[in-house]
Amino acid sequence: MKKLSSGFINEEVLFLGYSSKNKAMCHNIYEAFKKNGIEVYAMNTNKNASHDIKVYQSFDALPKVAKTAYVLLSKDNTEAAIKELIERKVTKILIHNKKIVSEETIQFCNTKGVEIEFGCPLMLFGSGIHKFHGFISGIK
Amino acid sequence: MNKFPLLRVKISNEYIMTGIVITLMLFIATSKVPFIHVPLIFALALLIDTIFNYIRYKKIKCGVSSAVTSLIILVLLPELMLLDKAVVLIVSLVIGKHLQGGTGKNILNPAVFGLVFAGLVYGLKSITLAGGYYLILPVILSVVYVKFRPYASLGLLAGMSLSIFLKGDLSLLNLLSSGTFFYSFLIITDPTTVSRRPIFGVVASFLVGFIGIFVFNSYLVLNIGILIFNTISFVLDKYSKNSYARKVFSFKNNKKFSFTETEFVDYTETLDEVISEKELSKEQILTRIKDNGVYGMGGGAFNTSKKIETIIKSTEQSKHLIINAVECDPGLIHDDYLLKHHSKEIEEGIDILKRCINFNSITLASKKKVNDSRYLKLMPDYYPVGYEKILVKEILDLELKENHPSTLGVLVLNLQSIYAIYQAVTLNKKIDSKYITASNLLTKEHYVSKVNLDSNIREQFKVSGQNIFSGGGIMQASLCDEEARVDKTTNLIAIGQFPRYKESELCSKCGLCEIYCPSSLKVRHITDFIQAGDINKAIALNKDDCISCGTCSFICLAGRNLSQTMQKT
Repeated sequence: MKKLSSGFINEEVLFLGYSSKNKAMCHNIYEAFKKNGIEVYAMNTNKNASHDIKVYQSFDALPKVAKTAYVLLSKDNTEAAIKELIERKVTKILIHNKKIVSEETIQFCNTKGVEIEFGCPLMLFGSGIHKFHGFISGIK
Repeated sequence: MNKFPLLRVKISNEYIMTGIVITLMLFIATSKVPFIHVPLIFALALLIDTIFNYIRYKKIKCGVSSAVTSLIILVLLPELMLLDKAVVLIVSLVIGKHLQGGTGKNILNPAVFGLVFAGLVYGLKSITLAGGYYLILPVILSVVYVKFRPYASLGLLAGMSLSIFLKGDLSLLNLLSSGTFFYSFLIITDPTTVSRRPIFGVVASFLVGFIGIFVFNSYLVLNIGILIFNTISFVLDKYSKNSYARKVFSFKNNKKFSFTETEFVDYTETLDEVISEKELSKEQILTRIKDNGVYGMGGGAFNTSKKIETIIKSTEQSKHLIINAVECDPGLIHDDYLLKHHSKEIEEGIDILKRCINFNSITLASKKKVNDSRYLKLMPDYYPVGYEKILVKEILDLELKENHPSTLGVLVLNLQSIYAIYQAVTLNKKIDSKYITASNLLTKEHYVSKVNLDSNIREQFKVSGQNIFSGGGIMQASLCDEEARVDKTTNLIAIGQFPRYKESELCSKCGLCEIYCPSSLKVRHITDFIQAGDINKAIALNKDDCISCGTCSFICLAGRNLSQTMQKT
């Protein structure tokens, strides 16, 4: 299971699972991406949620599907989401942590040639205690 | 997208609690607490809080409030054995706090709960703070916390002081060592467990102090009295429909909003040409106002000709014109600019309206004396005094309630709408542009700009890659996406960083959202109901009276965007 490394996410990222229920954390991740010059396309299929940023409600609504995606979903939703990402030619997927994805899904990604890494983006792109957390976790 | 104030208070519950921790450390420094007890009890408190918060919220939350509880126990029970202190702390936090809902939700003061337990189990009935006059410094530092519950603090201080006086022991040293100041400034001011009601606060806390110390001469009774006070506070605050003890909110002299004004920029590149023609009739005036699309430029975008027609048709004996130049949003400056640089056009706009309606009074409401208009009335500088209902009350002493002011014969128009009337009638010009304020929140500069309606904001202001916000003012703006355009409700464009709304679940019940709500709403209760999905209960507390001023979001110490939550249906 490969940890998040620098260079995995570069110019743009599809943030799948941007949530209003976990607003502070999602927004921190969004801001961390933006501060590092990464264009963020946030997506959440929940039609009743309201957000501080533009959040697309479907893949079809997205102006483009970035080649790199960051997935912050529940385990129930991750598998289907990852399959759709692969269908839409996403080549790199950062998964927030190992708990939200099954071994079968990881194998599926490997067979499709999709690169997978694990970790919270704040450990690489954040600051302060998040950066320290990343340092302890060996994320560079 | 959500709207929110672009600037908000930096201070948070965590900062305040940290200040209390520092103050308590000074109390401990003057006490007889064995040094080793301090880090051990402190660490135990943080551990208990971390465990319970993780169980409740599935994440690590700040445990500084438990640190405060532990330090209060250390200050007031310095001579207890370490193990006994640990037991008291566990009882305080587990039963006195977490079993009652956790941080911000507990009914009883956890430290006082622990003190009652200690009193019953260990027989501790009196308290003496060692430290003598060295206590003066931490006492002075603790005065600032009275702000949270001034009435309860005053009452308890009076009750305990009177008790000491009647016993013939009144002296500064005795007030210090008896814990009178400690209890009055640090314990009874806990906003989570103490009501901010003025009369109840003063009377009940006075009785608690007096009965506990003078009648029973027992700190156990005092502490039990505080717990009873907490319980009654909870019941009163939970079941009362109304908010109370409201204060007006002002941004006057608030350094957060001190910007440097730079030069006016006209993005429309059009010139106004005065055409020479005969004086128009009333019908011609009204037709031009209608055909040229004059609308409410304060943000409401209401059709101005319809408003004027309503006034004309109104059967009210007296008719009044109020020109709203208050510009109470602290981030806006374009109405000021218009008053300074286009006063003649505005006077002409007023004259145009006078030719259509025979007004009994005309008032140009402004917070500053920008020009010498004969209609000028200076308004008090509080927010949101420019809100229509508040303005009509301030100027004409009329209560609008559910009515629209035009039904009462009152025409309220934004200053820029008056300018637009001049443009529409005198220049026969379509109102397809407007003056707005453009701000750079990073460099703290702003300027007035004239922009075309429907222009793409990012293209117009040549901004890419940065956050750009737009809205009715700095108190209600939202992030612009690539396609965002200037519309009739746009008054402000700003670039800058997102304000930090950490949306903490740990509300301390400070009550600031309710104290400063101009509609006197029980904001915290309403938003709790909305978050829980119980919209009907929120409506029962008059949620729909919210005017979206954004004050509650600005002031919330838990970093919540309360005004956005109030809008949820």
